[in-house]
Amino acid sequence: MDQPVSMREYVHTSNTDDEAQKSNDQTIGVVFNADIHGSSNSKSPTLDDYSDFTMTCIVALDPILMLIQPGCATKIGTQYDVSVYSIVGKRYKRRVNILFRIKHPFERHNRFQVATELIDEFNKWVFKDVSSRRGRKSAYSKLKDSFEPQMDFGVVKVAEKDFFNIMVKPGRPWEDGHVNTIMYYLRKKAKYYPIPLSYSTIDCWFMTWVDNIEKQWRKSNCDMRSISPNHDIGQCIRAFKLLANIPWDNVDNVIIPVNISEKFHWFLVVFRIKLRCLHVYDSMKGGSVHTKKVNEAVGKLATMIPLFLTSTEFYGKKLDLYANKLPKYVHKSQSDPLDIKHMMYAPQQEDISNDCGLYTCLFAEYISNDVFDMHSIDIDAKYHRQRYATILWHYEKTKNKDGAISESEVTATVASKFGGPRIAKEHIPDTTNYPTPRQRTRN
Amino acid sequence: MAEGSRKFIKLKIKAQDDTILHFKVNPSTIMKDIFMSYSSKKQMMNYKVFRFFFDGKRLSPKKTVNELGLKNGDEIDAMIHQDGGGSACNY
Repeated sequence: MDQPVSMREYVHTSNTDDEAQKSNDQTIGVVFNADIHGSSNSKSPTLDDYSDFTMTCIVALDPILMLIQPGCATKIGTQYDVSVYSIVGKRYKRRVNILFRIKHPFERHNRFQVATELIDEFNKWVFKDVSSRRGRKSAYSKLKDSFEPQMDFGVVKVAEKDFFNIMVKPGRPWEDGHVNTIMYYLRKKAKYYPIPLSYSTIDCWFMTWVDNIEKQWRKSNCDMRSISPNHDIGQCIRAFKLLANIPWDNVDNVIIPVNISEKFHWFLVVFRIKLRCLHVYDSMKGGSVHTKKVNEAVGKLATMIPLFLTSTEFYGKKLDLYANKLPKYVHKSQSDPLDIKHMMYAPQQEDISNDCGLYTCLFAEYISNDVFDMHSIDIDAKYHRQRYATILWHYEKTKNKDGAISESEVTATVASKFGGPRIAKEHIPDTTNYPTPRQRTRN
Repeated sequence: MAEGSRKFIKLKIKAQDDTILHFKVNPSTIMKDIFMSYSSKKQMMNYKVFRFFFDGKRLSPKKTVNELGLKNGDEIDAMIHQDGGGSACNY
């Protein structure tokens, strides 16, 4: 019989002095009701018996409800993926990170079209404050170069305007950041397309790792112990290490951007798994020294990839290659070097245009749309430079405007010491640089 | 903060050729300091030659170790930057 008494006390004390008279009447009624129940000894009183109780009184009394305040759920738009509802409680004001639903910038701009207004808007932004001084490495003065908030392209965080200027301006060579960003978003496109697409991409560091392990392997007289599934390349094949990585046994084509730093050149290699062949797309076929260097790099890939495929038990997961009796697989040992095919009719870049990074990305994008034969395609390099920069800029701008973040695509690494995949670390989103969230109003 | 600053974090930085350098740092150290001391050990004048990666993400030089969420024993990849334009290919 303690409960009605305590409630009565509560109601009594909670009312203000102005309403004291009125509340007294109410409390009498409550006590009267409760006494009836108490005397009958049938049940403890239910909430229905207290007709004047408001919801807030109940919440304030109940220890369970006090902890979890339901708050209000407001729908805040259709652009976001998971936490469509932000929880705004009276006591708990916990902002849930908004996840951006547009997974990659290519989603809205299919078929290589961008609205001209968007391009104009971007040009206005990027060509403002361009420094006229010559001999500068960056196109802007130090003060004008940085912008807030920084843009998070997953593989690289950009806070310098020069990143976009390099992309747009004809004649400026692309760096690893640009190629990696586009490869990363193409990978996301493959992963999150309504139907998973049958290709994967990797970062340009892959070639560096291949180059290095090949050197070690030759030095140790083809010692197979240096080829382990936990090496960086093995991890790439097993879908660790890189962001949003896809295991190679799920796909048919692997797109590999290759940089030969001695020749200051980018080109693209596509590993057609079903054909057991490397297709080389080179936008600048030139003299003999150049061809030799390209062949050297592709040769290294052709030798090392099958060795790593064997060590990561790739063929065990991809039994259909043998079950279908594909002619390229039947008569060969698993670790034989891959075939190499140079695509003779790949579109060629103009001289002194420094467009090979762009062409590499473009070839990759065509392949992502299942176009493998490109000899009839006419490429307007200037437009495509403009287009890539604009869609990346626009994508990040819309993302930043709402203070949204992309979900963590970390695939973690295999810690070789522990012999297994390490569980992904707790992701700490960096929200310090995002604009402060706008107050969401209750509807 | 006084207790936190006494705690050290051990980081490994792995170069392209699999050589590993170990660093013992404060959680509040700015990454730029680590990068600069790494590049001076590698006899490079400019730390911007290297790209530092953790879990596939490029590390920003302006953040501290704590802000990036690095833990004891984490391994960072250091890659030499790459670029190319193809203008030197004509011979």
